[in-house]
Amino acid sequence: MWLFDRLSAWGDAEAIVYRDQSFTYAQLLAALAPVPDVAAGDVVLLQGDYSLKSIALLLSLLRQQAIIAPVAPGARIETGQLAATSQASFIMTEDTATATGVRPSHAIYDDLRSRSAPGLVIFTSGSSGNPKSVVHDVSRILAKHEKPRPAARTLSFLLFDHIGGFNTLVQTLASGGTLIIPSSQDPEIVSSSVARHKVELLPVTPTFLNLMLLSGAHERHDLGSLRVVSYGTEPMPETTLDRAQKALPAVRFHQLYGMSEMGILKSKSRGPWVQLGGDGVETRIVDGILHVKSPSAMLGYLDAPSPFLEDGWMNTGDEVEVDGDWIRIKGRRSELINVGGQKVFPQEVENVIAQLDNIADVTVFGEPHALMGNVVACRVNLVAPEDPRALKTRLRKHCREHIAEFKIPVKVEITDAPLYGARMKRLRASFLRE
Amino acid sequence: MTITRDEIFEVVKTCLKEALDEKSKEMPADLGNDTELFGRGALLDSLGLVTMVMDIENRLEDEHQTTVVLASDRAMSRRQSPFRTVGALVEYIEAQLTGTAE
Repeated sequence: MWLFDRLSAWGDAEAIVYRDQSFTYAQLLAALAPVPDVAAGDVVLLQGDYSLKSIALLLSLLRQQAIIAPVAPGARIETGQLAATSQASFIMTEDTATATGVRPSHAIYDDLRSRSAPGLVIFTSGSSGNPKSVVHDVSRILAKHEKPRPAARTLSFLLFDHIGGFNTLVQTLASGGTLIIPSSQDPEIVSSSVARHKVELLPVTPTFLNLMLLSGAHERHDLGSLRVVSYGTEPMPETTLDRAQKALPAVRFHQLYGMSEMGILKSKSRGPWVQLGGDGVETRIVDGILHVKSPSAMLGYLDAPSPFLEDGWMNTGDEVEVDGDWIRIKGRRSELINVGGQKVFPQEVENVIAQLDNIADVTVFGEPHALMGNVVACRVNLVAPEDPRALKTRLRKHCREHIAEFKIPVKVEITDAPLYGARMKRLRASFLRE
Repeated sequence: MTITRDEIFEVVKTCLKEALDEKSKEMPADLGNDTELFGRGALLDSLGLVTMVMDIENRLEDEHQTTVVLASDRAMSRRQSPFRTVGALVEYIEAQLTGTAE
């Protein structure tokens, strides 16, 4: 596989900085070793983070054409269940390996084996729907990174079990860059890692950017090495992007578009607008919804019917606005709130509420209501305590100046609990299942 | 139940005033039980009504420690809408609180 020739070529360049410990490509290669008992096409549930050992084990398994289901520490679903869902024959950590005795049997796995390609199983978080298990042909994901890009010092923000995290890992190693792994996703830790290790490329989520700006971590650490902050996984609130651009004027903010099913697509971005394409990716808009076709799309779900339409097109569920070649993601169709027949996108309302003083974070969602079908509700984290009634009056007054009346929250809840989940992504629909 | 009909009337009045204030509408000077809340030519549109009803529920809970759900299928399916006039709404709230609603 070309990736391993590439790794050898980078030699003594710095490959990984894991919790302030530095490793070269030569050291990474030396840590690769055949994994006993694992045959091509075997499914391995791999619990880990981006330690040298975990990365080496991941690469060794890829080299053996195994199918890898990565699990990050603190996953929401327990390991046994994930092992069962993925029909894993082995459960491994960087130090342990347990055989389960399971012989996987699934048409998608058969397909993968017939291609003699390594596989990747990604468990979606189910933040907007039921969790699903996505199967990728890794050789297709790797193909996107075969053409070398300039080496960059890149912080690994997304977790081990995330398609974006895998993408960052492969992209960095394939281009001879350095992957910097912080000890947590805390803004203080991430900012200090950027400063200490001269990070140039920082892929994050909008939720993280908001937390970083609120915490002031970017002012306590020298982020002068940063060239690009890329963000994806959820729509970016306009206020967050504005504030981030002002706080880091020398940095280019780049919007990515990706999903577990399609991988990370190549994009150009201009503020909230993006252009998708390259690598043979095609896009079309049907009934206001973005459809994507990509040669590096997943093979299918293990535990759900194929979502593909004719000829491999996939309905992303994202409603978009179009301006020539550019699109802007308005929000997920599934998160749309229907208020007496009129549509509300949570994101639009969140953008308006976030402009107010004393709002640390906000999430907007629908609640069933006997009079209107649904009403708009919001939950906010405050910077300083405030009388709930005064807040509600002020919030509604501000909304009234900016958005149509049916979009204004009728319910305003104050909470100290975080409004985002383990993947640093805003929670909306999941509130309703509490 | 510790809340009187007059107190319920006051809660409705306060919440109605707030709902009207938001829309820069005047509170009727002769507000009484017959004042029309919702319906053709009435004070509130549907969103105004939803907002006021939710506000009433909150205030009853915050100020009188009584929990009541006013916007329910039961309310909607009554022959006489409890949201038509101020008097009908006060009566409906009282019935909900004393458990005498049919």
